Amino acid sequence: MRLGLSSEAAPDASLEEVAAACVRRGLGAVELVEGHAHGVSVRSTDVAIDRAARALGDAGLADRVFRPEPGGSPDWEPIAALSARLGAGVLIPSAWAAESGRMDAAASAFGRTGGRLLLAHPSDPAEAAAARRLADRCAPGQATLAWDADPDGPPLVARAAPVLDAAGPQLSHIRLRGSGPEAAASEGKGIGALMARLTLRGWDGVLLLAPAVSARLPVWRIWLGRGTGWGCGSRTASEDLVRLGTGGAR
Amino acid sequence: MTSSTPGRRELDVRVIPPREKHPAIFATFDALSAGESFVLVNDHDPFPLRYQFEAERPDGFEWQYLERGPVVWRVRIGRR
Repeated sequence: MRLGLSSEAAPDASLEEVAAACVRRGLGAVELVEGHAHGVSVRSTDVAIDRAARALGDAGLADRVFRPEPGGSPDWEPIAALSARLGAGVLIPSAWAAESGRMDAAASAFGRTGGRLLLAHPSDPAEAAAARRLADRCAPGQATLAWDADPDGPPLVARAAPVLDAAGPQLSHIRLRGSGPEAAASEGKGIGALMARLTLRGWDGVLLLAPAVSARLPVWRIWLGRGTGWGCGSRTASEDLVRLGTGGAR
Repeated sequence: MTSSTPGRRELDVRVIPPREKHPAIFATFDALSAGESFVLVNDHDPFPLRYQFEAERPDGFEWQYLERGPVVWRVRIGRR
C-alpha cells in the first residue's frame, strides 16, 4: 500500500510545492486535479508535461493520477496522450463514463496511446460492480478502479467488504476524504478498521489523501509543511498602514 | 498493480485516527496465523507500541525494523 496526496489538499500550490510536500510527508503517489495551481492540464504542451513528469519523478512520485475537469463531450485523444506522457492514470467517474458510448471511445483512444484509465465509483457495491464491468471492456491493465471513500455516513468498514468484493482485483486506488490532518476528527468512522481489513487482504494499491471540505485547507497547509504557519502578516502590507504619527517623517 | 499476496501486507497507520491506531494494529496482528507478518508504517518511531506488545502479547511476536525514519518508519511485526 502506498499513500498519496491529492492536489485538492493544496489547490493553490505549484507542482514543485506539491511534490515537496509529498517528500516531507513520505508520500509516494500524487493526484493532480486539473484547474489547480500545479498547472498540469489537457491543454499543456508536451514540453510542460515532460517537465512535470521529471519533477514528479525527482520527488519519487512514481504513481500518478490526473483528474480532468468534468466535461460534456471530452476529446479523449489529448487526455489519453497526457496519460501516457505523464505516466498517470486518468480518473473519471464510472457512471459518467458509462453514458453515451463514452467508455468505448475512451478505451479506443487509450488503447492507441498506452495510457491508463481509473474508473471512480462511490461506496456502493452495485456501482463498483458496474465500474468493474466497464473496466473489463478494456485491454488488460488499461483500466482499473478507484473507490471514492467518504467517511461520512455509515462506518466505512461496514461498507468496505461488499465494495472490495465487488471491485475485486481491479481496485487500484482508494481516495480517502477526511484523512491526513483531519484523521483525529474522523474518529469512529471506521478508518482504522478499514485499514486493518485492507492490510489483511494484502491490498497493494494507492491510498490518496484528500480533504473532506475545502474549509479545512488551512489545516492541510500546516500539515504539509507549506509556509511558516502564523506570521506577522506584514510581508506584503503597505507601509502606509504603519504610521507613527500624523505628518511625521517615516 | 494490485495483488493479494500476503507478503505484501502493509498497515499504514498515518491515516488512522490516533485512538484507533493501536486497536487496528492489534486487530491485524491477532488475525495473523503463526509465521505470518505485516509491515507497520508510521511517521515516528513506534517503540511505545513494542512495549505494549511485550506486555500484552509476550513471546508471541517478532519485531524487526525495516526503515528508521527520518520521515517514515517501517517495522515488520510477525506472529510466532
